[in-house]
Amino acid sequence: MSKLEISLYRYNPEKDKFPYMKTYNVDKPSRDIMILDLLHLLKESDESISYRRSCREGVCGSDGMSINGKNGLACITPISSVLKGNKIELRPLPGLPVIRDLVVDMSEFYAQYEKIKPFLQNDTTAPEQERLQSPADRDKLDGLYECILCACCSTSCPSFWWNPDKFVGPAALLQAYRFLADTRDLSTDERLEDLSDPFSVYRCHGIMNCVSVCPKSLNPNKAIGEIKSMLLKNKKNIIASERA
Amino acid sequence: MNKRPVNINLLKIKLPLTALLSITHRVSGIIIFFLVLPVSVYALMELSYSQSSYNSITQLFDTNIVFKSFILMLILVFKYHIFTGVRHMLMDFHLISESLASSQRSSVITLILFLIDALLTVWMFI
Repeated sequence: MSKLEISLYRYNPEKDKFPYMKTYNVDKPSRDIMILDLLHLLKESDESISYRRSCREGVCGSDGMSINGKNGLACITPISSVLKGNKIELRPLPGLPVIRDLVVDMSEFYAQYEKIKPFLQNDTTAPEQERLQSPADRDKLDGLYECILCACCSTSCPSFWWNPDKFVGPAALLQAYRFLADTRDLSTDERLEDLSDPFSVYRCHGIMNCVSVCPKSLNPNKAIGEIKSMLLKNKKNIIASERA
Repeated sequence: MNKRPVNINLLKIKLPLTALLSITHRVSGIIIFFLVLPVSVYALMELSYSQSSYNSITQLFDTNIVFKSFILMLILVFKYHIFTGVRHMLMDFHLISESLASSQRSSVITLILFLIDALLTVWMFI
């Protein structure tokens, strides 16, 4: 039976001064299993291995990690799709502080999400049942609301590596656009104002890392493009109204 | 708390072609700012200063293969920056759709156009 060579990023702050790569050799499973299952196999032999997991079916977004250099969810990434020869390298999501092994501190990521006010803002009196939307308006939210906040996109973005505190990042910007595009949300101008500084949106240079890694096949880059267009239009309106 | 390590090993992170194009666009921009621009301004100054300085520059260009290659390299860097820059602008204006597939396609097309232009430039230089 052929062997798999798995190189795993290890770091235990209580024991290790620096992180290191540890190689594990396991028998290649007879069927194509997911990376997460492979980690379970490893954990049977070495229970000190740490990683996050919850739903194990690509819904909760807990097990984002760098798999052979590309971010993805371990639970829905089959071994066959990433195997290089017989090697697999697993590292924590890039750019975020490592707590232990594959577990990263997501505070900076969530702080950016909080910043874009990810909730519907509408101060008008709510109708008895619900705020209605035309099917066409509802369709505008497709490809935006499905994000599970796994951070695969933001942690693959060099702009986010450089400025995790100032650049909102693809995940949160996708959500920012989700509310900008929502006809029921009435704070469009304030939202745009909050994003108009040189860092929040404009650090995105469209390199598409986010799109290429998103496990839900979403397109933050397109959403960011739409935000940039909205910002431009908003600016033009402001200038026009100042002149009038 | 702040001493937590961060996994950023650029050699271990796979970048798509679109990212490589964007990063090299940046690098070429830096080279233009620090090398192409000063050399061009200096060359223009020398060329327009007097007949003798004009002659010495053109003579250097004709006889010194290293100098000629250097100038060629600067021109290619400048052209690369323009080609990839125009692609970025087309994307900013939503003239190239922002899907991964079309972005990769436009990257390949940009590279092919640049290579054709680069070959023509080299051919003109020889």
